[in-house]
Amino acid sequence: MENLEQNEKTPQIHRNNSGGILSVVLVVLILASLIYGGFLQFKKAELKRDIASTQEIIEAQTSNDLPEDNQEVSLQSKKIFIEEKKSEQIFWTNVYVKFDETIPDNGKIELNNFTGSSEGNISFSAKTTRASIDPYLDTATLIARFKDKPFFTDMFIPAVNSTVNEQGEEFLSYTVRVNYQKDEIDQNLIDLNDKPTSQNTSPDESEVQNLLDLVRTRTQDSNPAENE
Amino acid sequence: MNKNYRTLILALILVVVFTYFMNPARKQVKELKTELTQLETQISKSIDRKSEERKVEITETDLELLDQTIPQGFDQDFLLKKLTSIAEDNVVRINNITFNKTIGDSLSGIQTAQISISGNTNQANFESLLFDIENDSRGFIIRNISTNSSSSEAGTRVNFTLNIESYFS
Repeated sequence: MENLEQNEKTPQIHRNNSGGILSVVLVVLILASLIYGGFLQFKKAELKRDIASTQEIIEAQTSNDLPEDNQEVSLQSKKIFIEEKKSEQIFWTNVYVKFDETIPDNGKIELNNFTGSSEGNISFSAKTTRASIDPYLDTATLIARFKDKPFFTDMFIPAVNSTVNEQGEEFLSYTVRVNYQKDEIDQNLIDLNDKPTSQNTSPDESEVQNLLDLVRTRTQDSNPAENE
Repeated sequence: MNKNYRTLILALILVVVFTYFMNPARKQVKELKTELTQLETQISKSIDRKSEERKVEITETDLELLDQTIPQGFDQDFLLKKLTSIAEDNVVRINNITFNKTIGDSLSGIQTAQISISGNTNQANFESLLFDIENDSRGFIIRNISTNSSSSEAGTRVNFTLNIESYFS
């Protein structure tokens, strides 16, 4: 009988003990949260002070520029700014010349929509024409031509759609994505544009034309087999 | 039973402390740290820019070039005249021109004039238009280009949109 009572009390004691431990753990967690929260509040105040003093430094930097100094700094800023912008520039005239050299000039593939961004990402839609007897082969040739050019990278055609007309002729249409990589000819064009008009003889079309001719010549030289 | 209530109340207090006191403070500290880092980066950029500027020499050629490419004030009238004149020279029909002004560089205060031109012409004239815009002394940078070509017996017709940037201070 005594044993039975003893057995009934034991789980009760365990429950009481575990409840007590849980309470202690919760109290510790609450205290820890309060202390950490207090530390965060202190950190917040410290950061706010740092931000205020940093803003003061920025304001002081701005106001410390003397007017005559400002004029000089302004010109130098302008020069740095325009040089940065020019270095990012893509000369689309140059891109078009390179496109003309890359796309087979046999009337078998027609380009429709063209989009290009300053990052050099180009996308265009193309379709084979009636002149294309084997449109898949002509499409493969187009891909190969782009792969051969160092200034066009990551060429990718996500999907090729085929249609057959009433005469049984097959036409392919697809979108081409390619990246343009600038080369020394783009740099030459940048350098050429870094001259004011007073130093240009009629916006120096002859020199630019020479560069564009150079693009054509270089492209032909890089692919002698195709030109033969 | 009382002990159970006590545990439950303590758990609720913990949840309340975490949700309404500790967690918001943690988020605020994180935001403030980001803000401080941004400001410090701004100072460091400004210092770097100033030391870079001290090394840059301005020649007479630069003065003339900068005067042309980054003039004082927004020269919208000049930009409009210039672009329509280039289009006219290349027999390009302009359908629409839009202008927008944005900050080009917060450190130097240079501003960007974003110009969007839509129009149509033939392929040769379009390429000639690009050539003239890119090589104009005012300094135009073609950011994005979008064309839609259609071939007919008369030749290839190009409908285009050009997003151009030009700068002023």
